[in-house]
Amino acid sequence: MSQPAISVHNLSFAYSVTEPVLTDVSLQVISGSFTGILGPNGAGKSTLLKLLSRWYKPDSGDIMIGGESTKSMSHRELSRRIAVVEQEQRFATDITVRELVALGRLPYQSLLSEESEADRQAVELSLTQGGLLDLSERTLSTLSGGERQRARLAMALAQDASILALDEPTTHLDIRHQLDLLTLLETLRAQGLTVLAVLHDLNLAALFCEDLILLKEGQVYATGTVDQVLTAENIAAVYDCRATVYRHPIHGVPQVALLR
Amino acid sequence: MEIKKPLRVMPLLWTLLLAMLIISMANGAVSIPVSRIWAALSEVISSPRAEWSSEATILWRLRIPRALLAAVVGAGLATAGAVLQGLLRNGLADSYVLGVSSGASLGAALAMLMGLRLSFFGLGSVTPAAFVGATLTLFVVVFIARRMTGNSTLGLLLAGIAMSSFLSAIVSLLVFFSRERIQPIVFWTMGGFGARSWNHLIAVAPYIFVGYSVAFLLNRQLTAISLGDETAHHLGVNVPSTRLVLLGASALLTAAAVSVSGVIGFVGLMIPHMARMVSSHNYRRLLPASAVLGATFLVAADLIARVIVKPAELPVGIITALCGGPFFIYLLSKRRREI
Repeated sequence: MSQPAISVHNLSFAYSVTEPVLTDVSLQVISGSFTGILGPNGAGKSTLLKLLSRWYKPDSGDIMIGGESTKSMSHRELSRRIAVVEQEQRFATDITVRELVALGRLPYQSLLSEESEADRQAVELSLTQGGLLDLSERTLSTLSGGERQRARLAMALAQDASILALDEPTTHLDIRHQLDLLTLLETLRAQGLTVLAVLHDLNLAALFCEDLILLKEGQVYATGTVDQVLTAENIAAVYDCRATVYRHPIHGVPQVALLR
Repeated sequence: MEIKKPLRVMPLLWTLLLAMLIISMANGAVSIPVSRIWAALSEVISSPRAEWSSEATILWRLRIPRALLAAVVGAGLATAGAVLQGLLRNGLADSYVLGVSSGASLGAALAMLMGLRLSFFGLGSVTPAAFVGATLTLFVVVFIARRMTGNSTLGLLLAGIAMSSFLSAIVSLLVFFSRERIQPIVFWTMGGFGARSWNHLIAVAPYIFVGYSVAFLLNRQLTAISLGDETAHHLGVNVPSTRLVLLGASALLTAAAVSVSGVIGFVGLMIPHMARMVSSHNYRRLLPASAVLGATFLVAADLIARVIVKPAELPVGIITALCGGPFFIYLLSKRRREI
C-alpha cells in the first residue's frame, strides 16, 4: 500500500478540561478503502470526523491528509480533499437538489466567478452518481428521507475530494434504503474514493467495510480488517454486552448475534 | 438548455416596480395624469428651470426623488432582512425586530444633535454614526442570543425587543430634551419620505449599493450558511469571517435607510418571505427578488401614506406596521413548535 489517505497522530480533544472526548488517538485510513468507525454512544466517533474536517481544532496531535498536515491548509484547500456528509438534519432553506449539489463546487469558485464548465460537469456527474437526475429540480422539502440523504451525498461528491466522510449516513433510513446507500458508497469506493463512515449497525459495517476502527471512551480500542476487529471479545469489552460472532452464510464475513 | 422558471420572475418584478414608480409619481396632493408625465419629463430635460410648468417642477423636485428614495430604502431594508434571516437561520429576524434600526437611529440622532458636520466622503456624518449604532446593536443582540440563551429563536427575539425598547427610549429622551432646538430630528424620528430631495437620494444610494453588492457577492456562502454553519464549513467557507462581513453589510443597509428616512419597520421581515414564495430560497435569486419587491412595497406604502389623508401625510411606518404586525404574528404561529 502507498501513503495512507488519512493518518492521525496522538490526537486529543476536550470540550472542557473535565470532559476529554478523544485521548491520544492514532490511526490510519488506507487510501481507497471503505473504513467504518464503530463504537458505543459517546465514544467520540462524530467528534473524530469533526476534527478531520477541522470543524473542531484539536488540543494536541496532528492530522495528515495525503501526507500533508491539515494545520497548514486553508478551509478551501481542506474541503477539496475531504468532503463530509453530516448527520441527518432538516434544512430550513428549501433549495432545489441541483442548487444544493452545485454548492459542492464552492471550494473551486471565487467571489466573482460564474459556474464554470467544469463545475457544471461535476454537478451533472454527481447527480448521476446519486441517482438524482429525475429529482434535480425538486426542492429538498419534497424529498423522502432516502432521497434527501442521497442529495447531501451528491453535494459532497461535487466537491471532487478524494476522501468522503459520512456521519451515520444510514440512521433514520429503512433497511432497503440503508442497503441502497451502502451499495452506492461501495460503488464510489470501487471508483477510487476513500470512504470513511461512522456506522451503528455492526452487521452492515461488516458486510460493506474492509477496515474498521473501534472506539471506546475516546480511545482507539481496536483497528484493522473486519476479521481482526469484529470479535466477540472486542464487542464484549467495548459495548459491554455478550455476543457471538459467526460467518455470514453467503458472503463469509463476520456477523454478530447478540446473546440475552 | 431548459429554462429555469424562477429566473423569469425578475422581469415581472422589475415591471411591477416600474409601474409602481409611475403610479407614485402620478398621485399625490396634485394628480398628474400618467399621459402627461412623459411630457413633463421632456420639459425638464429640454427647458431651463425658470420655464418649467408646475407639473414638471413637482415631478422633478418632489415626486421623482421621493419615489426613488423610497425604492432605494425599501430595497436596502428588504436585503438586510433577507441577509439576517439566512445568517441567523431565523425567519423572524429583521433589522427592526432585532433592534438594529433603533441602534441606527440612536447613532443618527446623536450625530444630528451634536451637529457633527465632519464630512465623510462628502456625505455628512449621520449615516456613519447610524452605522456605528447599528453595528454595535447587532453584535450585542447576536451575542446575547448566542451566548446567554443558547441561540434559541425566542432568545434572539427577546434580546432584540429589549434592545429596541431601550434604545428607542434613549432616542425619545434625546428628542424630548432638544425639542425646541432641533425640529428636524422630531420630523425625522417619525419616519418617512416627506420633504426628501435628490440630496438625500445621492447621500444614501451609494451605501445601499455597497451593502447589496457585498451580500450578493457572498450569495453562495450565504446560502451555505443558511443550511448550517457546519455544512458551510465543510464547503470551505470561513464561517466566522463571512458572518462578520455579512452582519456588517446588513448593518450598513439598515443604517443608510434609517439615517435618511427614520425607523420604518417590518419591510425586512415580510419581503424576504414573499420573495421566497415567488422566487427561490437560493440567495442568488432571493437577494435580487427581495430588493426589487422591497422597493416596490415601500414605494406603494409611501404612496398610500401620502394620498390616504391628503393633503396631509401619514408616517409611512404606520402603513408598514399595519401590514407587518399581523404578518409577524402569522409567522410566529407557523413556528410555534420551534419556540
